[in-house]
Amino acid sequence: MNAMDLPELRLMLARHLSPADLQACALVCRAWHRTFNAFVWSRVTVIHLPDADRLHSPIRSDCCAGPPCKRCGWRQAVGNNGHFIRHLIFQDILEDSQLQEFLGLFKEKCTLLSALAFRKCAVGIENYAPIWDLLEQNPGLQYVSTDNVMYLTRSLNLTNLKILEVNASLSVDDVRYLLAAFPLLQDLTLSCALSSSSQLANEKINVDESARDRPSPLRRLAMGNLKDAPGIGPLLERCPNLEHLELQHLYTVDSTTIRVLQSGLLSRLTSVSFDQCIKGGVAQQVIRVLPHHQIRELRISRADTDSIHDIVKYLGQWVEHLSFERPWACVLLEHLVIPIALERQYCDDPGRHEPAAVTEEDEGDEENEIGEGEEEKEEEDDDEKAILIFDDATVREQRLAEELFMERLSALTRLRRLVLSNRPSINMGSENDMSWRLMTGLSWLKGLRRLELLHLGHRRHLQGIAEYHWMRQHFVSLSKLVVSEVGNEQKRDWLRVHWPQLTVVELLDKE
Amino acid sequence: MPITLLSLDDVQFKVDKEVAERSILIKNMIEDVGESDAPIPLPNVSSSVLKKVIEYCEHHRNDPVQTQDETDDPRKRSNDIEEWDMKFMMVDQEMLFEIILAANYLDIKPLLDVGCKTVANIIKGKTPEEIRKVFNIVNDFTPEEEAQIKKENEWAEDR
Repeated sequence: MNAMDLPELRLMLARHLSPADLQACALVCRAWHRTFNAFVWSRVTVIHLPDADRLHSPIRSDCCAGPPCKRCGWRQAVGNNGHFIRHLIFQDILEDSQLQEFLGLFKEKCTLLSALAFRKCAVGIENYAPIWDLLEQNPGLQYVSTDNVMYLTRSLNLTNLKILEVNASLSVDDVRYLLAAFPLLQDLTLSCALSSSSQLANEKINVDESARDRPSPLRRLAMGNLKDAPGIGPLLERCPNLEHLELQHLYTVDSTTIRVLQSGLLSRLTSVSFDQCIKGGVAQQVIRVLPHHQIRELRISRADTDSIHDIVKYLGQWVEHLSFERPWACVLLEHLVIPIALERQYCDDPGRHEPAAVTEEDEGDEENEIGEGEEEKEEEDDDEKAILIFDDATVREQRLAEELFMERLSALTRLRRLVLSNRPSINMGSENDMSWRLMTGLSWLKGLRRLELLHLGHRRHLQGIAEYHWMRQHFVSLSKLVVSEVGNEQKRDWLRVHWPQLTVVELLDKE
Repeated sequence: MPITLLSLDDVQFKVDKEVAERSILIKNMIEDVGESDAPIPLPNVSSSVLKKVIEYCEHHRNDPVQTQDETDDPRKRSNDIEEWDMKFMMVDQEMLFEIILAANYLDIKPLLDVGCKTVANIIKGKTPEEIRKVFNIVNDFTPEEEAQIKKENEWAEDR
């Protein structure tokens, strides 16, 4: 018996197929079509139609007596399949008439929508009415993404909304209003700067007064482009259930925000993310007043001078997931601004080519019996020397910086996941060009015995067996390792034989 | 206490209770009937397939039980297959389908998932005609129907 003759098994299979594969499966036979067509049509993106000459003509019933035009193609396709659509996205539709036409088309058929998004679309007042119709018919909507909140606030049928993305400038009061209007909202993303003037001030607000001060169930709040925005404190006050807070381009922190963070009101906050919050040490200011014992996850891009220091000092014993997008940024800055003893030691001794050797020996001799990896290690040393010949000073400086960075990280003993680079290097050889290894600081991390995932990013250097050996010895909980490349067969064999439970992911960036 | 399983073709398999209970069907049966020496009949599974399924359950005997949330969250979904599972699934197609049917019947969700992922990997990048050939499926569309669906579904293409 063919297992795929059973519809329930085809349904399970469908969850693992890409859109293109779903398309192919829908064309296999009638039975498969019945299963897979619903998936093919579950997500639809409508992008603007380029055949402008037809756009301005009104729809006529005989529109496509000749060869079919795009508009009629859409109409027929949506007519037959529109009832399957769950996620509907409109993108780049700048013409009011075009958007209205589409809204009309979809509102006839779509009643099962759970997600509706307008991306870079002209949702002007002309389109409110057809959108309301669409909203009216889809009480199951849970996700909306839009550039315009005005039509949202006037529609009464969005009580189930859980996720909202707004790409429009709102004031703190406006956001508080949205929280009251959508009482189940759990996830709010505001990608535009907060403004000081309210957009919704003159709206007829159909939310009763008591609801406006009720705590929101919001669990994730992401705010982009904050810059010198008015204080977000009053907003945070309304969200005692907040678990994830993401701040981007935050330049100043007001006293209310600090008070709210210090007050313990946000008793569920466990994850904080800073993106581009470099100006004026804002990230540190926030880190210092966070409810430290709660924080388990911290993401930080472009960390500035003292961030690592503060993370260790305040969150070191609590944080479990730490991710840096551009670790070099903090490495270099730290190195420049906080010269600690280590650095002086090496700088005082210009003849020294392997500054990390001291650390390695000091740290290693108690338990590091590397044995079979010995040869590999020597080979690597040769490589290092070769680099040193090219640019002695720079390499040494880099290695010092690497070590400092690793030393700081070594205090985060509760870490379970460490990601040192999320992005592939754009400017080759710059910020992500990490080379740390046992010799240059990796050995600092030997206390991180809880590590489950270690992402080493696109480092120039490949592990030797000695390093794998060392990691296996110290990272006893490690189950996943992400590296640029595993290396030769010998290393692969070693991993297979000696560390079979480790999943290794290769980035294989050949740049 | 070991559990005895009895295949379709009357072959007995003795396995640890912990291993047998990777199958929710068997787990429920044991709970309903209580522990006994009597073999549990599995009239839908042949001995060759049951042997494979037991091999899987032995290897995964200590895995944490999957929660519904994890597998249903599309963000956590992936087509990655663990290396051991991948090798385990290197069988001919008939056996692959037999394993999937058995996993479905015995209610072993992780095995069913791995089976479906394996089928998904077979389908990946293939045309409808190639899929029919691989799975031995007859095209029962009329040419008009096929053309119509092809035309309509162009609009749903992921762009």
